[in-house]
Amino acid sequence: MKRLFPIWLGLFLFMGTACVTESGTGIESRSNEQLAPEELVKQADAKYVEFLASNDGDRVAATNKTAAYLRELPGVKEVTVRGSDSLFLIMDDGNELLLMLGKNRL
Amino acid sequence: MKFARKCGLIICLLLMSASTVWGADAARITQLASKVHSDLIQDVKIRKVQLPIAVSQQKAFLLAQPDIQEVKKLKGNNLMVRFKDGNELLMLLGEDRLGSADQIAPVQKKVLQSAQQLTPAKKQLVPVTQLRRPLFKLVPCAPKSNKALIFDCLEDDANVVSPKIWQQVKSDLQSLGYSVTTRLNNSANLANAAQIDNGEYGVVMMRGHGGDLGGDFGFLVRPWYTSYPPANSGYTGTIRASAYNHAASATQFGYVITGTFSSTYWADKAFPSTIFFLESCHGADPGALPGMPTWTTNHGASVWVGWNESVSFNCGDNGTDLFFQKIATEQKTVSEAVNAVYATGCRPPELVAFPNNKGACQLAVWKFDGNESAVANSRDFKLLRLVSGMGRLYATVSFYGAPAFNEFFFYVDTSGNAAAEVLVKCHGNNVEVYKQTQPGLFNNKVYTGTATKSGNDYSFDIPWNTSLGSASTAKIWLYDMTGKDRLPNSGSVTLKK
Repeated sequence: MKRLFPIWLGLFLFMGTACVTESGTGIESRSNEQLAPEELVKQADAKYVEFLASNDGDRVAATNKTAAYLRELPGVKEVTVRGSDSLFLIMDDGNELLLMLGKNRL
Repeated sequence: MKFARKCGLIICLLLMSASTVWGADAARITQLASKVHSDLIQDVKIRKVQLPIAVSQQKAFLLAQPDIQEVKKLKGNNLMVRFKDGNELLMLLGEDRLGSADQIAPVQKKVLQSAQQLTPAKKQLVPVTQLRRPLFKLVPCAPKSNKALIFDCLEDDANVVSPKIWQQVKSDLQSLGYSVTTRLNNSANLANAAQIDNGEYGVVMMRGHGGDLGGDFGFLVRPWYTSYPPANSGYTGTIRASAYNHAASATQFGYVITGTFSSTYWADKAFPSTIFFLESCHGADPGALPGMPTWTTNHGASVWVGWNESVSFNCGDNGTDLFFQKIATEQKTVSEAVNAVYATGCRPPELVAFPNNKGACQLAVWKFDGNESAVANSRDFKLLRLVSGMGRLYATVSFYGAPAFNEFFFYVDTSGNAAAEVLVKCHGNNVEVYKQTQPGLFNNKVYTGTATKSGNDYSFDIPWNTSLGSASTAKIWLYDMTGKDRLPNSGSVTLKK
């Protein structure tokens, strides 16, 4: 049992670190794999809400920052800002998506 | 064939002349001019597209060319093309008679050049006396169909007004005699969107998420998809999009229809001076032009109304509500209704009309009358269409058969007392307006005008002030002494000046 203690401790610390890293929006983790469109949308939504709050509800600023964030994600080839709260996204595999951000817009 | 040969010869001569003058530029201009000419002939002669629509389509094509700066549609279905390098080309594409789809005058192209180059091209000018121009009769801009469509992709989503906006718009349109078709939620799908032109709607109200695609407008149709759908929607001109679905409390996916979708699927029937109203983001965003708005307005629609940026459900629903109250219940023009929405202060964004010179468009007032078996179809009233504009009252009476009658009466109550003060005697070829001299006696003739028949329709127009004085409202009914038919069967139809 005593010999297993360092292993348990190490495992605990590792899990603790992982939890801290994944806290908040839970979207900070990045890998080099292309994200699925569903995951991209989820991250875009979360970031848009976050940027909207930190920019006093300025949709243009939040949209631009969300675009900048998405451009850094693996598998995202191109992100174009379309108006105050829409983004047009082209992925490395050629797939396209028009992201209409926000819940209170038509 | 003879016509085609003549036409070809004239074009060759003109293009040769142009080539001499322009050198290197001429090849490109020649190519464009030839394409416009051949496409126009193809559209009008083979596809039976009306000439004005075909010319508008060619205008849209020319505008899309990178070396063209400006294209103006001139009277008589002619186009003035201005190139970025300063060259100009006047394309005379006029017809022999108004609305003629089967006989196009030989297409002539005029070359306008800078002053020092003008002399060679002058030889090509056709004397004014040789030009046969149709006489245009100006009519107010109003839908020519009493069918309306409400295409609400978000009926089960967020709704700010009560009753829901689609119900209020439906009620407003029905009050003017429109027959309203609704496509709600999953019925507001790609298949039904592709059929919008075939419905021959005079009014199309679309509600849903919209996006600016950079030079194009995207409108998200149903159904929703929980995961990223395949690229191939089964339809041309669709793009995948995501938006928040309030009914599912999640961001979901769907297909947006674009300008390519409209030009692909809305090409069967010309829109009957349709008023399009987009309750969506970016519905009339200048950044999303040309796209769908340009296609529809070049394809017969009179005006396209929408917001010029991202709009909230609150401003969207309330603005739509007010717009239709104004344009339907109060019979205001598009401009007046748009201004009323502006005045609420629920902006930005702003509700705008495209093109911006169509603000005078309005809804026509309609009244339907059933087919009465005891009345001969040739004098059995079916539908009355009324429009007030440009100082005149315009009326079209549709019958159940080709109209054949000696006379029927068009009564007007101008004082609101349910009795007529003005009688319009409608004859086969003319109308006579009489004012009442004693109760029930109409002996004071104030106007005589012409009437026209086309198919089952009988149309005329009379000057408002001369006929109806200072009345701001006219309550109208029709009566045929011989057939004993009345439209409406009781009461009257209200038209505001």
